[in-house]
Amino acid sequence: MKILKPRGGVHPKEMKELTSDKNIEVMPDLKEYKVSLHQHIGVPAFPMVSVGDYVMAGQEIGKCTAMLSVAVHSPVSGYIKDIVKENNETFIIVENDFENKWVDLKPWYDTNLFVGKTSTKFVTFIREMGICGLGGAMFPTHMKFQADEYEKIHTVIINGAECEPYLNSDNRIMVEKTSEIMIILNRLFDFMNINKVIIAVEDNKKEAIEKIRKFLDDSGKIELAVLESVYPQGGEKQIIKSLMGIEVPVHKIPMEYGMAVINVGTLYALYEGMYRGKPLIERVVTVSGLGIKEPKNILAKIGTPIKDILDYAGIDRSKTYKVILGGPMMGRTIGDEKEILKKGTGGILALLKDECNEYETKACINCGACVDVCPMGLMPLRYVELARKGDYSRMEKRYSLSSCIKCGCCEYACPTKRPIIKSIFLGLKKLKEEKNGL
Amino acid sequence: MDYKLSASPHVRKKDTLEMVMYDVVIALLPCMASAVYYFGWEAVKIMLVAVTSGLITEAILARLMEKSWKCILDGSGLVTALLLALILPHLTPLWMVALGSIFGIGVGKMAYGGVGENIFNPALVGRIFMMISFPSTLYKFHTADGLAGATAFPLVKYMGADWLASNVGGKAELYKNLFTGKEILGSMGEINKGAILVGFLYLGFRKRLKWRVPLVVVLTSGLLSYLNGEDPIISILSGGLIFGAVYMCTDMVSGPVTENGKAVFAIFVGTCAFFIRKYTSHPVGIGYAILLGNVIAPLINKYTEPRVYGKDRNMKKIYGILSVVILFIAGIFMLTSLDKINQKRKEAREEKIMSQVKSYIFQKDLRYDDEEGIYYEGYVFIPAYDEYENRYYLVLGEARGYGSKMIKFAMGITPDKKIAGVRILEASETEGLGAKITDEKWMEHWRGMDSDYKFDKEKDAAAGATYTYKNIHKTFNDVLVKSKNLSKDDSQEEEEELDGEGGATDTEGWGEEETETRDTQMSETEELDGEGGATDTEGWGEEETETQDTQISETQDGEGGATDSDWEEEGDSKW
Repeated sequence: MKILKPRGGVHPKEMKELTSDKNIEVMPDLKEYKVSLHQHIGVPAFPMVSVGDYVMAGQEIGKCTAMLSVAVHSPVSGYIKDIVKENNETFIIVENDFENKWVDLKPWYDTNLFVGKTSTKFVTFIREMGICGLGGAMFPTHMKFQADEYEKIHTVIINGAECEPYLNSDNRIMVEKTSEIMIILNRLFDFMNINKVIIAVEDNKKEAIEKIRKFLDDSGKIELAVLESVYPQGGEKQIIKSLMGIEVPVHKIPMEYGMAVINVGTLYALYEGMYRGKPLIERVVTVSGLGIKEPKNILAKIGTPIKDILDYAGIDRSKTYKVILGGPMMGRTIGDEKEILKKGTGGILALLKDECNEYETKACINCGACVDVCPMGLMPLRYVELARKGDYSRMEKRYSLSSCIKCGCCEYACPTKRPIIKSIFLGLKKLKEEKNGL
Repeated sequence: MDYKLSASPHVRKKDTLEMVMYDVVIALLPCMASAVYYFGWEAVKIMLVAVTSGLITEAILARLMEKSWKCILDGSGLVTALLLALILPHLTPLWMVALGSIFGIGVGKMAYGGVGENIFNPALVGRIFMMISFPSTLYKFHTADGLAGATAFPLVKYMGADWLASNVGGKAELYKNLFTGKEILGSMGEINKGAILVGFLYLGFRKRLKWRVPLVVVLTSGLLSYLNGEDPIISILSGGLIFGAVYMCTDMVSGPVTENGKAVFAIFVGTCAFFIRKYTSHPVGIGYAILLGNVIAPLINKYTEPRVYGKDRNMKKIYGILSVVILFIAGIFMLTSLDKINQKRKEAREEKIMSQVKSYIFQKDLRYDDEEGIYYEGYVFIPAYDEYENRYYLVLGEARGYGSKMIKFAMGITPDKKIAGVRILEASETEGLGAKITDEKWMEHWRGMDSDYKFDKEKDAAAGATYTYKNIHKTFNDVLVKSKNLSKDDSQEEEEELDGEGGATDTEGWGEEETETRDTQMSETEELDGEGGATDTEGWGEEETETQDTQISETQDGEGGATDSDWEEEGDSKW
């Protein structure tokens, strides 16, 4: 298979060695979990329980009411302590009774729901299992196998690139759960009309590549593609371009081109759901950064407070400068430890000041570094100029702002540390306001 | 516990403006070292003055702009000042260096708002400012030995590469000299190409420049000069082309942003550099070319934006830029081919005229061994021999007429140093005043005159234009005197003669020239009273020699001459 090199990209310090060989540890149960009902892109789930109710582990506590939505489940068994609303977001607080009582798990094959190649039941099943993209975007996975277009899909790409520095959750899943991944991949052919599955891994994950290679047969149905390590190789548009040579324009989804891109973590969640009937109530998180005493990969329940995870891994609070949910390039910083673990959080990083390389913002020197590294072929330096002028409509009309994938390469590479991504977010916000007639 | 909040990305590349700028400073170190090696303290002084005056200007202006003076520490001012210092001749007076640096940084950079905002390369702004303001100092260059003259490039241009090569002993030697900067005239930093190459490699490996930019500039310029029938290696190695290509074309602030844009920019600058160097008399052609490139950089940016992922390239733009480029190149070729055709026609015509002139002047057939002739004291002497091996000379020269117009003439000199015949080749004199000049009778009457012949107003001049005819007489006299000297000289002594009398090859010559020009003026004032002076003749002759020897811009002398003679002619007609 011919693998193209994506345009631009940067090579941030990987720092993956901190956790790349750490086995996934199961985090001990906590007294209390705070589960958000809005952990995905789209309509928040509707609370199905009220304060004082008893729920079992894996029980649906948030129901999806719209197509673009997924269900939410209780991570443990116990009583509902409280239902709180913070910033338009509803949280259900479950008090753990440590009984570990599970709901009646109904694996896909037990229920024998699967007959023939049909999508509706499959889609409903994934939705009910609460599965959404675990790569960080939290896009409801069932939308990728949606209705009419479902038949068109000929290739499924398994995204194991994990190009963000520090993160190793996908890597560890590929290393430790290889057989599970291969089982579900082989099953995909049964109920989807696909002829190829490509597992895309960046070449810095040697162990995972070796493991996967052992499982490959001669049929060529499942292929392993080793990609060059460059950020943002793992971006959906970039990985499609690298493997298939196809460019999926803005406002279009890969399904229209006969492709579905699934993250490795999501794939494992699919396995858990289909073979064990276990809904998505836990995920692998990389806790890393030089501010963490023992960087590790942990399997934590959705709804675990970040504070407890940081305590579990041992954070040096006096030295830590930034705490980031997600990767250092696209994640977001948190000011305090009040946040909780959500489905899309692949990493929790505590960085020291030295790791961030923060410098003073200076005037743009037209060096063109941002243009060179932009994987989408944009002119990021113009966004800063236009945002300063307040000419937001021009950002879109002249410089295709909506094509931006917010990967952050431009700002990373900028020698004068211009606030490019900030300007882009501002521009997108203003455009949205304009569109909504505000 | 509060942590720092920031927008993504939360980690940055270890790369700052300071690192970019100080990398350029490091890349300039070899050039600075070679400047100090060749020019010693002069180079150190110029660099120090440029840097201190530039940085002080920047600090003061930054304070006036209510910014911190500490912006001078970012290295951009240092780079500008060093670049400016390195493209100056080493004999530039220090106050002039300071002024250039102040202008370059003050107007070229800070007036636009400081680093990143300027649209022109500030070092070049400073350099061009100095060149426009002080042409007499900055249009000439010096070798390390203190010899004055033009840079190697104009020398090649006006004297021919072969002449230059024969002076240093072969082409290979010339290439070597051009590369190392030995005995080559030029600005301090740009003569040693090896040092520039080291800087180029450093910048390249540090990824501070795109390899292709300097390469394309140099290759474009070289290719065009090759197509034009010149030696591309000499044209590449001479002058400041390589220095400009490496350190100034790659200036980020004033150049285009996109990768393709940088390539287009490089082609444009290379082409402009070739044309400016070929068709104008300005030194620092590459500097002008880069400033022109800076002007069109925004346009280049507009047309070379990268293709947005998932979108088609805007083909209109591509066709637009392609057609412009094609027209540009077609224009170039038309110009060069027209130039060549005209040149050939002119040569053919001249040859025909020359053969007529020869037979008219000597009125017999002579043998010409050396068609090129000897260039001596402002005239071209072509030796000719008759059947008894007597040496005649055919002299080609110019006399100054009214309004600084030059009268081209050919003169034959007999072996006993008498005028064999005279023919005016080209005269654009005012109707009625100097029309006699092309008169057959007038030309005829010079036959047989020798250097003792005194000016006769009746015979030699036409009414109302005495000045012109006096001058012609003086010039003819001068030619006869020079021809005597020439025959006396052996070829070995010739060089001594040039040094001793011509005085054009050393710095003192410049001073002398000025005084002599003044002398000329004075004696011409005397002439109004009816006295012709022998000093006059010498004055004119001397000055012409120097003009052609050193290739100072003709305009200077031309203007000077014009005012003199205008005034003179007025006086004459009053009388």
